[in-house]
Amino acid sequence: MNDLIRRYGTSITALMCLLVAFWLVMLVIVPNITLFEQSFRPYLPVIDIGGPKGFLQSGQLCQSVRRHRSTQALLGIPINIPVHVMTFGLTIWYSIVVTVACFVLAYPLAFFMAKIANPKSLPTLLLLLFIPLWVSEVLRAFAWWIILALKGPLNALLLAIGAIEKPVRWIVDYDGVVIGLTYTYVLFMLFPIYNAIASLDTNQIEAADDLGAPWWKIHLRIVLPHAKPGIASGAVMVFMLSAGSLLVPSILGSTTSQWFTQTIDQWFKDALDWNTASAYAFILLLLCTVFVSIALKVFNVKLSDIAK
Amino acid sequence: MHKLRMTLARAYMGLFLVFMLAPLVVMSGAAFNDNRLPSIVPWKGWTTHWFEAMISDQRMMVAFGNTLLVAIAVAILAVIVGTASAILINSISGRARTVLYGMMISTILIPGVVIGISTMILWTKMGGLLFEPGQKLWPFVPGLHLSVLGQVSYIAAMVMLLVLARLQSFDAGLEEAALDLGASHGQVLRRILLPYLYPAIGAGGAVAFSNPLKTITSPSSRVAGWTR
Repeated sequence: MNDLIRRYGTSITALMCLLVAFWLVMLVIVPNITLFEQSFRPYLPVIDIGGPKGFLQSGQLCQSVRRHRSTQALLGIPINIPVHVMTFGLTIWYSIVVTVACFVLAYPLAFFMAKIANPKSLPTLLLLLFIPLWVSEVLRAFAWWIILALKGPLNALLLAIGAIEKPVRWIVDYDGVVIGLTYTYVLFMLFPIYNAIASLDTNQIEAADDLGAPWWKIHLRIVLPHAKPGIASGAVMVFMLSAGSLLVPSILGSTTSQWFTQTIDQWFKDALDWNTASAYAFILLLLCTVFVSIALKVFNVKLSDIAK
Repeated sequence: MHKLRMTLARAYMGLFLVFMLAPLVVMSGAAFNDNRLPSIVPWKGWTTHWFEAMISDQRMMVAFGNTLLVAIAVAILAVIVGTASAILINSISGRARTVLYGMMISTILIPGVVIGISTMILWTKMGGLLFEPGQKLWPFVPGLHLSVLGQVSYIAAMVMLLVLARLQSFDAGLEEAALDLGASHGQVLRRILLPYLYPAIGAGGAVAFSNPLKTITSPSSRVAGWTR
């Protein structure tokens, strides 16, 4: 800090601190505290707001959650749980599915790019991979909506080569959402893993090969442990982005799929019940943070290693 | 055996590229297909009808203009805030740095819906506290500027990361030399540090500008343009 003042003077340093403070306090911390506080207020008609009924009621949230119960089948076993809890659980579950799918797709490619591919062709490759990132998320989800449609190009292609007998419905349940999210976020998994593997000494792989290790053992014992920080940061990014995505589930969702962000959005915009919406939003934020912290602990990675 | 594995790897690479790029091709194709349904099969011939329809649609063009406006505002704010925080982070160390850095990074991970709702509630609430009911003043009513603020909160972090990466290779000796030769503090910043950071700031600006074009946070979804 003294170093800053010595180099740029008091006024510029103060200005910079002020800007950072504005960002972190006004745009991040205070809004989230307001969100937390708002979650405990009952949903009242405008005339009662600020009156004696407007004080904190912690039972409010539980009531509103309990109001909507339904019987759902989980792995074939019918259970009776509140529908929003079910939605939340499914959102977390399918976010994990998306994260695993992204890892499975990205890991071989990251290894190929870092260790096998010709270094000369790498810039072209990276450029090609970056193109989808320039295109809006809405448009990418919409493109998948076109592709996966019942009479869309994918079914037409599969019918033409004789792989299927009659058109397959792709957008059923959460399938469309998972495909769309995997496509949208696979690059956030690819680049951290690529960076991690690129820093691995190729000699280690060759030494293991010379000593007679089979290829899967090389990956299991040498490449994967080295790539762990990259995998962890990729997984955290993909998981948080998927769980927090609103666009892809809205566009690619079917009649039976409901993402938790959609529930929040409906409370906020359709029901105009900002209190319940903020309670749900806060729960999403809290549980995702807990989930990510556990993941970081398990993989032994620091938050500062993410998004490098 | 080795040869086979190489071929397989190449094939996988090719398939992955097709997976990444095919949707974009399909979408561009659909934009020119003379078919009432947005698809490329069945193909009914070339048309630019959809673009003409978009340009003649007044509301669509308003949405398009709003999107551009938000993007420009976000880019300007995020670049200023992000650069300042990168310089600040770079000059502190120890526990304070870890905590600040963690807080800045975590903004990227907050779901968009949460950011949208919390920003909306905070500013409208502040308006309610500061003024009598019914009296609405500019920064405290819902509108485009709130969508700008909501998006700055995490795009600034992206700019910060880009600028910080460039700052790590900066030679602080240059600034010392300039100070010894009698440059003022403002001159050091303007003539030495910022020119060095311009590539990163430019990249940050591009990211910051392109991001709002494609994001919909909750309150902004009423105004963000579907640009197709």
